[in-house]
Amino acid sequence: MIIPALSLGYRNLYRNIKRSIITFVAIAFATMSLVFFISLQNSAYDTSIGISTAVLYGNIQVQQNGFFPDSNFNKSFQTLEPEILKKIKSIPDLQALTYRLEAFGIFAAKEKSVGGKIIGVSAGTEKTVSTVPGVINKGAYFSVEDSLSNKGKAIIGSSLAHSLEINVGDEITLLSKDDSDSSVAEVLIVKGIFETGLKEADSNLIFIDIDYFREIFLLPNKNHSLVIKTNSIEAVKRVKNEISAILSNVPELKIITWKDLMPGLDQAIKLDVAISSLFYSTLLLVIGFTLSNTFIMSVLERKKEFAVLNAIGTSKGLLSLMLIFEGLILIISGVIIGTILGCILILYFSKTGFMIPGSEEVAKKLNINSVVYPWITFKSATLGPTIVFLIGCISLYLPSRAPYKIKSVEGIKN
Amino acid sequence: MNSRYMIIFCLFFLFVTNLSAESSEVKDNQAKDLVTKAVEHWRGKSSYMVAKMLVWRPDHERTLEFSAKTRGREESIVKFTAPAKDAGNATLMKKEDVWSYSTKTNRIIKIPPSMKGQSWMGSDFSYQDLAKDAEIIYQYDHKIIVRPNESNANTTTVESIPLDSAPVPWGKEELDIRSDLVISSHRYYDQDMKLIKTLKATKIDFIGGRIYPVTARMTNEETKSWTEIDYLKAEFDTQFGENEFTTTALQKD
Repeated sequence: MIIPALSLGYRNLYRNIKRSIITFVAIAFATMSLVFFISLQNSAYDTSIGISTAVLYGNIQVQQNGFFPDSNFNKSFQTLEPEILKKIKSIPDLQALTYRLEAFGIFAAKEKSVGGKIIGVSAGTEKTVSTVPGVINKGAYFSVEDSLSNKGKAIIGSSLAHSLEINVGDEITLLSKDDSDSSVAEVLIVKGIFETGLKEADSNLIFIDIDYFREIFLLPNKNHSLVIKTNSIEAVKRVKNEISAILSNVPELKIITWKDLMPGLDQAIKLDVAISSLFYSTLLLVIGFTLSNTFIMSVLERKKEFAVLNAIGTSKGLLSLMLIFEGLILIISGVIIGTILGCILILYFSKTGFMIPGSEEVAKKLNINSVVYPWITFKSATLGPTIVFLIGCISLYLPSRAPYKIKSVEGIKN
Repeated sequence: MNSRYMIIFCLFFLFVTNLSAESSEVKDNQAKDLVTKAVEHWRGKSSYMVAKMLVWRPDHERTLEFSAKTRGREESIVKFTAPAKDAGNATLMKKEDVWSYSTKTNRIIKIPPSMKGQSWMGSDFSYQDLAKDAEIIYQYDHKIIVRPNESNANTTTVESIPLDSAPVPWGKEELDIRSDLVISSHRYYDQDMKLIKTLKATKIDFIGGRIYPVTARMTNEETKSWTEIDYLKAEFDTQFGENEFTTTALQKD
């Protein structure tokens, strides 16, 4: 019964070849659009998360309970045991990690003074987690080989340098407080000036060597955060769970991700997903109704034919199956071709980059690259086609029931 | 006829509202006068103090000693004398500006407006608290909310709400002012009207020839940490040299 139904269904596509082609093209175009736009959208999100986390936050941070969200200075933790750190480092998809310490302070030079954050970093490992060491536009970053030479030196943001009217080699005075609430006052020499393009970082941050930080703030062997970079944004949840398992015996430590550190970015992405879901839903609804309309029309114009076939002994079940196969051939071929075309488009733009016209200014403000180089994931390549396929199947329901309502005699007469 | 009644009604309405506004203004002036007199009583025309400051935290505490000079409503200078680590560090307040001097760096830093809410010398006082003596008179609207009554015979409570232009983080402040002009309690509320910290006079006694809150404790209501200042010596209405309240004076011993 299946083979004859499949054969009849296939041949019926040639009854009205123009309609079949239009239906096929509609399915293929919808599938291609979904594959392309979902991949593009996910790639854009990952790119902007990657750019934002790479400057400072990393993808995951391990902190003492109570440190987040106010950067409570008194909530620091001892450097982890080498064995625990080794276990964390061996987690697949964990790319790099580094310790940091931070404090709020007042920075002054000559007559000028501003408030900001001073961050203690380890010169060697900071480079593997943050983009700051790579965007020094004046002077140099801390020395990895000679860590003693980093003592008393500072790397400062370009906007901060501009506000304080200082340059490489100039002095900057730091005023803050240490772990015992005593005042900390130090004179630092500007070794390098960085420019990330992020206003928050460029106008507020000063980096000093972490050992020097520990010395002046009286925090021997202490840290405020272990900043972790993962191979991909997708891996964040998995790596976080593995770190949680490793640190299960250290309840005073808390593990947070970029979503906690940058809730604004997370919410913006969620909002964008919600808006684009509406667009996708509309597209799918139109496709669903178009398919349903096409299939119903093809049934209505063949009422007499079905009545004759039924009268000469063709079962209603076979007629229904024939209609289902007729529709499925169109849907499956359309979905396959659409998926292939979508993937080809993505591959093409992954080489050349996809730029949203007129988005340069907005992208600059949001620190998002206006040119996106999309990539395909299993999810982005299958999500759209699966939904198109399911909608197509639903739209087949009504036409497939039509043969059961046919009355042979009346149908032939009409 | 109707229009005559209407005119009479309007005149009566204007009279009543005007009277009410005048009455409210008088009350506001009373409150402002009281706050002004309390601040003047606290500072005198000028003053010289020697004090001990205890900063208490759940896991540690430390004691500092300092001398303070004030002149008028808008000039103060505080110099730390102990412990040795902090000796020589000093803070100068002039109008709304605050400067800090550290002996270790031998540098004077002007505290930026955005950082005035930060802790002063690791205590529960902020630079804002030090600089705002005159601010509370000029940059706030005052209203008496509790007058002396049977249960609290000699204390008036004034609610002080900062003007929109006032550079302070508070939603309102409340001062309990005794009839002898001693501020016995000063409560600071945030913009959500949540109590953030309280400055309470824990010991009121005669010092320098006037009744004074000789021991005052600032309590952080969130963390319950506190800082207590104990005035050991006080002289009021003393004469100071011209250069006593300058950045140059910060660096002098």
